[in-house]
Amino acid sequence: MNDEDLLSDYADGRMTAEARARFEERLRAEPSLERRARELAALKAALAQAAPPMPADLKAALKREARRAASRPPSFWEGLRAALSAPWAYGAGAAFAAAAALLLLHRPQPPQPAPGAAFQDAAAARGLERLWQADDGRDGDAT
Amino acid sequence: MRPELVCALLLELTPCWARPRRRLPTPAQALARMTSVPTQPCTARGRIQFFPPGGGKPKGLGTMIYALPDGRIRREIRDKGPRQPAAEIIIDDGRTLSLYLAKPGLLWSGEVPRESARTTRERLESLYAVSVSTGGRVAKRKTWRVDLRAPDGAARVTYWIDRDDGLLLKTETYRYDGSLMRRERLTRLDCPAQIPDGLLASSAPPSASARPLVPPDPPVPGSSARFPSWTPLGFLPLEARALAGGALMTYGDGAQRFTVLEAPADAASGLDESLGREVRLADGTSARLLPDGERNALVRRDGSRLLVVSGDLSDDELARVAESLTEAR
Repeated sequence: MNDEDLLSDYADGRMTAEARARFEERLRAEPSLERRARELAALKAALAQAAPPMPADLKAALKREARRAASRPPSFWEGLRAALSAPWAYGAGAAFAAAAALLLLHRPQPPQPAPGAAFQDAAAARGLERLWQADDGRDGDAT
Repeated sequence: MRPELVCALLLELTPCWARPRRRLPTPAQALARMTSVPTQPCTARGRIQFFPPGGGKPKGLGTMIYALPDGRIRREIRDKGPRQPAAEIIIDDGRTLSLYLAKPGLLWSGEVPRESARTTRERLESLYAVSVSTGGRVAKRKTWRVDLRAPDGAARVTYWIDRDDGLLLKTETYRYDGSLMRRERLTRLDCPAQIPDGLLASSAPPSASARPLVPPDPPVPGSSARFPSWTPLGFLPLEARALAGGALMTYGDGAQRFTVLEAPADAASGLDESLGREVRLADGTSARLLPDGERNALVRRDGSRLLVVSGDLSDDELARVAESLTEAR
């Protein structure tokens, strides 16, 4: 086990009493190791402080957060990215995303709202999707 | 032994190098045959397969085709076998194109731009290097294989055409990364066939809700963008939204999708001009075809406008969609 693993186990309190005593002896003898142990402990404490308390109902909290994000008007670039990666853009999204990344993303644009679809035919999309079925992909002629 | 049997056996024993061999057609001859209509009424069964990018599970559908020498054609999709009612019926009666979806009972129809076989050939010849070789059998017929490749040698589209009458029997379209994107294959072909004239009339019930094949412009209010007047057979407009100072239109056939973006040309200020290859379209404008791994894209600056057509289409289909936008203006 290397020093990084030992430091991690020490900070997390995953050492046996015997191993812990041995490691603390080393900390007293090696100032650099002792400094790293202190830094790690400080980082761990800071992270613990920054993390919000775990909600009683995590699933409900996540749903609330998703609804809040959805209701916020997206920025222009968020809208563009969403439009290019949305399921309805399947089949073209990646190509366009690459083209758009090359073409557009270097150009600073003032943020503006991305309006919703001006034209949509969901019935057509559903009807067309129903036509296709799973296929084995084989070529019967194998020419 | 009967004399005719002896003759037959002797013929079979003739070494292959001594038998008369049919000469390969030139690329121009092969394209000319392939783009012409059948010389007699034909019916065919076939299958279309779509291979999603990244090795996703293939999708497929069965088709029934009725084709007449005058160019009229009917294509049916039967998702529950040949004896069940068609789920989709596409009829090109030479003047209008109609697409009827049994579920949800919708009919799209409208006039579509026609182009001569010569224009189609010229587009293919300008975009690809064409070569012909011997193909295997498709629908129990001997074929010539027509390979359309990019100048760097990458396979783009391969056709298999009947050696006798030039009928197109099979097509494979590839992505820029070389993966197979779509295969259309006839499994049975009958020529000549009896095709009742009524089959080329609309099969949609009167209750079907009718929609225009090309929605009225503009796709988004206040935009100068236009819907393309030509899209590959079976594709319908699904969505349009304002994007990047223009409009982004999405088309699909249930498995494949492509988008058309029209935006101000200065949105392309970051374009790396060395990307892809420059091609000249039939309308005289130039465009760039971008190699982009799993997808194909065409980018064109048209005066003050930028046009990007991208998705699951071949180079010539991307080009024709782009050309139809110029024609519509």
